[in-house]
Amino acid sequence: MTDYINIGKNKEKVDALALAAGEPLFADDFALKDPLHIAFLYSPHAHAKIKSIDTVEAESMPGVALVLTYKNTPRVLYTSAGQSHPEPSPYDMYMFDEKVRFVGDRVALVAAESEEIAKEAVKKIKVEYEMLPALFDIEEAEKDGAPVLHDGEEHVMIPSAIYRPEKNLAARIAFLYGDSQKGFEEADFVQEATYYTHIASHCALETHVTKATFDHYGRLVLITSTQVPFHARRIVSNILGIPLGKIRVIKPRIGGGFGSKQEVLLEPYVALVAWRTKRPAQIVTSREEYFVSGRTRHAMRSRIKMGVKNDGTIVAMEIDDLMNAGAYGPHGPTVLANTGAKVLPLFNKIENVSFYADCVYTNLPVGGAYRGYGATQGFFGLNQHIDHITRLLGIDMAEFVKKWHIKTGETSEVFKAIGEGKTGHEQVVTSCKLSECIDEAARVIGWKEKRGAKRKEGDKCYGVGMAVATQGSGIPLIDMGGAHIKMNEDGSFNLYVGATDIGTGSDTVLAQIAAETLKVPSEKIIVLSSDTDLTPYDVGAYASSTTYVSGNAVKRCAQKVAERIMEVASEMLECPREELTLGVEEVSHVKSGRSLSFKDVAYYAFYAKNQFQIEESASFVSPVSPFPFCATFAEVEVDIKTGIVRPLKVVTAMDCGNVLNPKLAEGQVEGAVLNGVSFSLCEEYLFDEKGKMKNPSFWDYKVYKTTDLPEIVTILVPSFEEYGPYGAKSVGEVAINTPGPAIANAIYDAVGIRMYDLPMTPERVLKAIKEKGVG
Amino acid sequence: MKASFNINGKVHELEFAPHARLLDLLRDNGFTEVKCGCREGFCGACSVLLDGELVNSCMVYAASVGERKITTVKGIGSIHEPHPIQEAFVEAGAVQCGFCTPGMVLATYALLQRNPDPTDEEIKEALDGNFCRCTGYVKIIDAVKLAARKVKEND
Amino acid sequence: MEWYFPKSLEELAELLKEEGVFIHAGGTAIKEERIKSAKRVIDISSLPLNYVKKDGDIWRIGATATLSRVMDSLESDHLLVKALKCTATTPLRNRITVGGSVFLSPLWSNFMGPLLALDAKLNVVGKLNGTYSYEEFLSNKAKFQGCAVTEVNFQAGGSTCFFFDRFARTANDYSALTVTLGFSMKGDVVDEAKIVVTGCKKVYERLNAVEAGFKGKSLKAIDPDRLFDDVKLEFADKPAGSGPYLAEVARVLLMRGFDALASAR
Repeated sequence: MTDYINIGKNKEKVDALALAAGEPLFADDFALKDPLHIAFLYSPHAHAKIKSIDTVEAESMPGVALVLTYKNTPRVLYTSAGQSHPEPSPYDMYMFDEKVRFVGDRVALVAAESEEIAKEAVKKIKVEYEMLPALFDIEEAEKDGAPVLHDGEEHVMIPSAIYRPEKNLAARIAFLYGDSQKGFEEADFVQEATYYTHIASHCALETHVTKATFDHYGRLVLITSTQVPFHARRIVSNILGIPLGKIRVIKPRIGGGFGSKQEVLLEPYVALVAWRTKRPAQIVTSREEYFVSGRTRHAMRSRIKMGVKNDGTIVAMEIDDLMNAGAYGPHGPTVLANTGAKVLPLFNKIENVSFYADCVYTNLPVGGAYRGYGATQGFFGLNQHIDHITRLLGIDMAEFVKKWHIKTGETSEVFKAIGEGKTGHEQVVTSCKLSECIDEAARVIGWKEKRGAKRKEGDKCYGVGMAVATQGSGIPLIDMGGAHIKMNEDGSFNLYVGATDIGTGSDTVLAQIAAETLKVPSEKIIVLSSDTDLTPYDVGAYASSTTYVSGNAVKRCAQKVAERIMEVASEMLECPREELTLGVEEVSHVKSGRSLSFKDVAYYAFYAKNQFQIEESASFVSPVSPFPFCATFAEVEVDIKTGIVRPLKVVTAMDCGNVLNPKLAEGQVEGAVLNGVSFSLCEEYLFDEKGKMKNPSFWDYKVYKTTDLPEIVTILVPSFEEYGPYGAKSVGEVAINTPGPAIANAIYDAVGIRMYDLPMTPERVLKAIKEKGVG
Repeated sequence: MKASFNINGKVHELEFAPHARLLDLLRDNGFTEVKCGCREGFCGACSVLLDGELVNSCMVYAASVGERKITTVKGIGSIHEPHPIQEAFVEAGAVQCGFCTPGMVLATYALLQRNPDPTDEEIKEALDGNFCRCTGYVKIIDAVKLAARKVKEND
Repeated sequence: MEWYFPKSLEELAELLKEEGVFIHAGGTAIKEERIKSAKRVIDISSLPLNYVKKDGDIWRIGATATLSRVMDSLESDHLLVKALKCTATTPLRNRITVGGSVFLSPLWSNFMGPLLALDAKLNVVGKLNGTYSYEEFLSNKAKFQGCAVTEVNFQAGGSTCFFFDRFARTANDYSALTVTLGFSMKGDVVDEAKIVVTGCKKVYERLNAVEAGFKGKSLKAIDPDRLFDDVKLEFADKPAGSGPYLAEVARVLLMRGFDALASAR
């Protein structure tokens, strides 16, 4: 297995040079001819009914082509969540509604000859609102008398979770096994605490951009910054009633997604403007729109209760999660499910577990998919809870986790109980090197020497903490990816995949998989991805699925092509197929010592006899979702007089299966880690009392830059995942789950305070320090 | 209004609004290698060089540029003839989504002009105007160090 | 709206006589609406004001010198360099000018405390002509409407020691508050102390009472613990923290500043 020619190599990202050279590859780099520019009117109120809306003045402005409101747009309920059909997210939004549900909700749009005119015209739309009481507090959402956000025809397509909009309940998931009450009675002590994670923005550098134009058949062509081109096509078709076959969605290069673009946010609007006016149309959203009107990480309250025996056995665990959907429910049920499904199996030996989780509507910005997808929220509390329990027991957390975490060959009751969109599936862990990850990262951070050392210099205290996490690799029996490969005369291959490279490098990794299977250097693979006209279907870039799901499709497809090549070679060499072997860019007949280059084979197939092109297609859907694992160890400095926490070093060891491209894999870990650090320490949505975001700009919503960096160390700990293409599992999401709790645990190690609440801002840390009386 | 601009060594006669930013002037005239990420001077995706100095083109009024030389990333290398800095970014794995990369490359270029042998700290300071959400900056800093070596070898 | 590019200070003075004029140097702190609403935008970048020079024992900084240029020109441990290092970002510092920063005091400017502590003077043309102290400029900004700052100058070196620090969420963040301490010493005793806090509800706070208490004393003779107890600092709530929290941090930074200067002596 070591004579790979592509797998495990640091192949350069196929699009990297073009990107570094500034080639016009992103949605906004495509210049449409004479397009209409779209601007939205956003609600200034958190919750209101539109009593009247007067667009006459806006419409009569020179240069205005079209004004859209709830009055002249389809009254079709849908979800903007870009998920497989039927989406598990509730159908709870219209393009425009008579009601607005958060500051930033869409009231109307103007399409005009220029962006400036469109924005001016937006100001001329007169709206009279009837104010409704607003709901901001998740704890109030289900109480009698609470304002109800969704009181119409809103519904779910599949019963993946309980949906009761009249109680503001966007999703409820509950399950239990064993008897947690009995477990608590048997425990020597019970530890209970409540943890809070907050709303955050993905901050993809490219904002949301959609352009619409027409092809020579008069079909609608959307060039859009999406993670889900095929879902976007289907959802646009469903809302607007345009036949799906009359829509083409092209995903160009994408300037980062992180989940924000797993959302059909702009496409229906731009498509409708173009379709109605028969003119190209476009919108390039601003950073402020991205913050206020885009999607966010769901905030969550997580109450964790564990019953523990003095020997360290956790006999019972109760988790009660309450998640904030915001005004609409895209991804609500599935993110909620993941707060349990991805989190609970890690400690699979707990015999009595109850999990109870609600996701409720509030009049705040809309939650959505965000790297980590519920696991981030769940692991924040869980890792702190384990830290606390091991401290009470007087044992080393690293050793404790190594003893109790799920291992290769083991399963969890949770797998059966909860799935993402469907019921769960029984599954056995087929590869897990989490213990090795813990050992490696612990060694690099200096865990044994630094843990509990209480180092202090002046007002600065130092500590170390750890956290572990898992995720998945695609959604079993739902996520499907397709691949198509055709061979050219010179022995190069075109690879067509629906898989959506949003900057992760999946085009490159998929080329490596195809190349390895076909025994050619990956430079011989020409990748074209994510164009609904040209490539096969793929669910898109989410759920950590691409390397695993799309990768398996590519491998399967390449195997079929290799087989065709052998068949042609067998005909050419007039010897049985079984006597041939596939070598690097050649087929050889060992017995006779003869061989054929791929070029020979291709030319024969194209031009010699029974002419045909060597090409194949394949799809893949997985019965399982292999788990990547990671351990993060962090060292921090806490200033006890100001509360400033400086992360000094963050070490993450990752088991993502066999590593297909080390540099790209490390890059995924490093990006996720820093996003996790930044999220935990400084990123924060600030709202005024009316629910308006006060800081929708990069000057007021802070993110980490080079001058804020801790030392980031990434260690890849390879395992071999039998289901994975060349042993690979996912790597994109999991490492965002651990920096937050690792830092929180390090703060505890430094100054003995428990940070229950994110983000861990200096003011919050100082408050905790004072309450504890450190100093 | 109308004025001539020296962009990547060529003079262009361009029309623009008196309040237009350099970013819009450039993008509207096909210099789409200059990206727009925030329009508030924070993210650096729109970085260009003005007489060799790194600036945020979204914070510069086009009318104020005058005779100064504007360099975009296309002014230092192309896909066919890449600059060693661009090659270094590719080799180091510093390009993920690539939206920040033109700005990062120019920031590196400006740094290496001043300081051919920068320390890690100097690299971080020189890149502090360029935001990247994908990489955690680790491979970008690697790329700058690799670029410094490459540029020296080329001299 | 029209852009003007005066080539001499005389030409600038002429242009400033008109109504609805607006001065542009780097432009980083000027909103588009401001440009749109102006009748004339006067770009001063063609004036010979792009200098940082030592003139005897005076540092003279022209209005169009960028922050980067100032950082490159002054001594690397100069108070102003310390403040500039945590001001905005490299590409912004390449564009932000000293004149604009002084005149408009944008969010990211860390100039105020240091310039006050340095007793800086401003050269001004327009409706008013001449040299004014920066403190006077700040306390009576309305008076300077229709003027342009052409130079900032202050005493170089001397027996003065300085401390600057600030509180912000990230390295690139604008300061929620800054503290500047400057002691000019006569031998072992403090001749004059200047302590300035910015970011508070008032544009800035000079801690006059504390300053007076230092005069004529040796730093060793001052009890650091009680030093800032009576100081009342009021801050508004900001994204970086609540008002009371920022007041507390300001006090901590003041203490640290004093400790740093006292231990350095």
